[in-house]
Amino acid sequence: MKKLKSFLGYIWAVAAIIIALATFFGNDYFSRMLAASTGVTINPRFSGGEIIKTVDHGNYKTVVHRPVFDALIGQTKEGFIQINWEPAAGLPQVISEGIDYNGDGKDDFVITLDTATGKTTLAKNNSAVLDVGESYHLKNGWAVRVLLKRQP
Amino acid sequence: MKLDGFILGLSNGVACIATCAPVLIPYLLGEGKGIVRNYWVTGQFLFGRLFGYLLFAVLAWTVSSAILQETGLRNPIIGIAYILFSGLLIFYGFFNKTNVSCKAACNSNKYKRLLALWPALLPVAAGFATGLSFCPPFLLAFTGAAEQTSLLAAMLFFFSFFLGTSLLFVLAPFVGMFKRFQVLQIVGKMAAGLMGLYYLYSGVILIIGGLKII
Amino acid sequence: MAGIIPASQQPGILKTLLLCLPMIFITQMMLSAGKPLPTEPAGIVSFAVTFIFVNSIFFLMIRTGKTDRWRSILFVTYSVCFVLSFITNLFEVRGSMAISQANMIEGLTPFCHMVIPVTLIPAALTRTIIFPGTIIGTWASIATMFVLWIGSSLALGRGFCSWFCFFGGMDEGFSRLFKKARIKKVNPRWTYLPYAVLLLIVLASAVTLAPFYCEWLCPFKTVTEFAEITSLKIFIQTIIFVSLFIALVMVLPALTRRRTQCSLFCPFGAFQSLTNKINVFEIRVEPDKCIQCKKCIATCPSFSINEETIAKGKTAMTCMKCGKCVDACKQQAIFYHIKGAPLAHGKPEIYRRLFIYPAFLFLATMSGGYVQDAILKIIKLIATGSIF
Repeated sequence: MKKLKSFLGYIWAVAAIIIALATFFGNDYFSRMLAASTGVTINPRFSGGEIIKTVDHGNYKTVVHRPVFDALIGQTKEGFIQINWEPAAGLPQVISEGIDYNGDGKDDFVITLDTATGKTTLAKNNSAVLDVGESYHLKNGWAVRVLLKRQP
Repeated sequence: MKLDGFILGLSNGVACIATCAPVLIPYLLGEGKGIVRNYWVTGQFLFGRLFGYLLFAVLAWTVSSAILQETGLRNPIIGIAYILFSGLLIFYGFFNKTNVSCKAACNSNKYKRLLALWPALLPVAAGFATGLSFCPPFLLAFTGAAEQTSLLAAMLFFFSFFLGTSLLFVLAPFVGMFKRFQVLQIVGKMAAGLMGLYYLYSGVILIIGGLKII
Repeated sequence: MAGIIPASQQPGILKTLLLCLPMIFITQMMLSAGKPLPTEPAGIVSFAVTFIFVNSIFFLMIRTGKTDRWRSILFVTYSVCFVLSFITNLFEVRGSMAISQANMIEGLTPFCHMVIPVTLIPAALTRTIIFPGTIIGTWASIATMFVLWIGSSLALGRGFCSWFCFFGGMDEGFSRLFKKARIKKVNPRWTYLPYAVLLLIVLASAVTLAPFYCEWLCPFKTVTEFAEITSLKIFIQTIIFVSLFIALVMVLPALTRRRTQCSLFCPFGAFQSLTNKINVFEIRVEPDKCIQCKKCIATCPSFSINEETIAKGKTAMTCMKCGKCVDACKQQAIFYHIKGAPLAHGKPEIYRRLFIYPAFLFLATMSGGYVQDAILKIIKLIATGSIF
């Protein structure tokens, strides 16, 4: 029994060297495998959530993400919706756009963004729309988060 | 769930169970009476704790809405309370080596005389008594409940506190945590001390906010 | 001389070189990252200096039988070069150490191992990572760091903290500033603080779905990157992390000659201690040989050895396997050990070598890139007056 334990210990110790080598040489493969097998994504509070709609304006496009109310369990009472405009080169000085995020055919709010200064104004058409957060000057465009109240 | 209430309760609960459980568990559960009865008794004990906490939630809310609100100085007063109690909690968490109040509640002669008259209520009463120890985490929980915007929110705050303190009572038999009591007690108290730093910050922000309104 | 294997047992130069050959070969591959060797003079110099430096350290570890004496040199150099390389890269790419909300939305925040404990519960319940980075495909992506962490935990346990962590060398460096400790007694209760911090940040992060430790506490933001100060809250967060860095990474290690950040605060370290339970390598003590001089207790940077653990013949689960106590013990009563292998009449030097092979592999590979880059930047600065 003692000899078996000792043998297994040595095997495990040698395996540590192999693990060290595999960690570096196989990092690319193992990271892809880990990402694919777990299926994890970046939390929508950071990524903005999945894209639900893209509107093509010719020189630029509007990317509408889904409303984010994600909590650890269930949903939060308040959340946001992220709107992106890209590419930077094709954006006009002032963007003014109505957004219908709940698919009822009516604009829930109209967001206006001055791409020179980042200043935003919000016209609400839905009581669930609370306020406009900061605007974010991205590498290739702009993004804005509009704060929402979750409706049952 | 109110996170800060839960964490206050959890950090307090580790210290509480470490002190109270060696006295209470043998006293309450007895020997050879079956798992079902043991959990029934534990359930009554926890019910007693919850009842006590919810009563204090109502009291905290009443004090806040009926008295503090009338003065117009609600935020600064709660902020000062946070700062004072957070100081106590920081001392309790990092520098105080004793854990007196929980033991006092368990061993009080008053409670023993009362319970001798009505032994069937023993688990509920024991839960009620051990829950109402006025240690710094409890004082901060009281202040936290007073800060809430509605009675329901205040009760939810204390419910979260209850969940935090009681989690270990439910989990303890499964993980054999009684073996490392002293370690758990130290970690729990330090976590409580760290919560004290959070409440110190909250108190300062409330006072600044309150002063701005005045 | 303490910790050195007796002259009769020291391997000869030729045997030492043979034992170092695998490491020489592997480090050459790792430092070149699979690409052809550099051709411009600055690149050649930085590669050569790094290669010789790293392999000299390993040679001396094998030849002298001392572990920590040489490990610490590379470990401290690693952290200094990491900071130099990281900060200069930030200025090159972004023009600032500050990271904006826009950068975070775009997933441009590099992921670091310190975040790992707080991501686990949210990942299990929501299948998302609560960090503004990228899962795969960029430098310091989340999946890459997870693989590195898993591999190093399996191989080293909490040896991670002495042979992998790019931050650990900072407080290790400051802990070696003075020859004598100004504060000799530290209450052992403080060694439980990292567990309290871990408990709080895991719960707070799970409920708020944000990396609480990164936002509020991480002292190393002082020398890497931090949120742009755009509000009172961020200003207070900045004061907190800068104060923690000065106190825990600079001042206290210098005064106590211990790694105070790592052993008295770091929640990742507390979490990593658990991996010592499943790791095959450990430090053992032979109580019969011990003469109670307590040199090991005075020298341990992580408070992991005391009278109680010595009586049990081992170190506490917080042991970082740095080898400082092994080097310090004049009686050779403390040694690296492989679980299951014989204790009495065992082969401590074999156990040590079996440990330092994977450990040094991690250290050399992780440090090599940063040391090379730092040397390259210094050469550029001297030659052109600019690091870019």
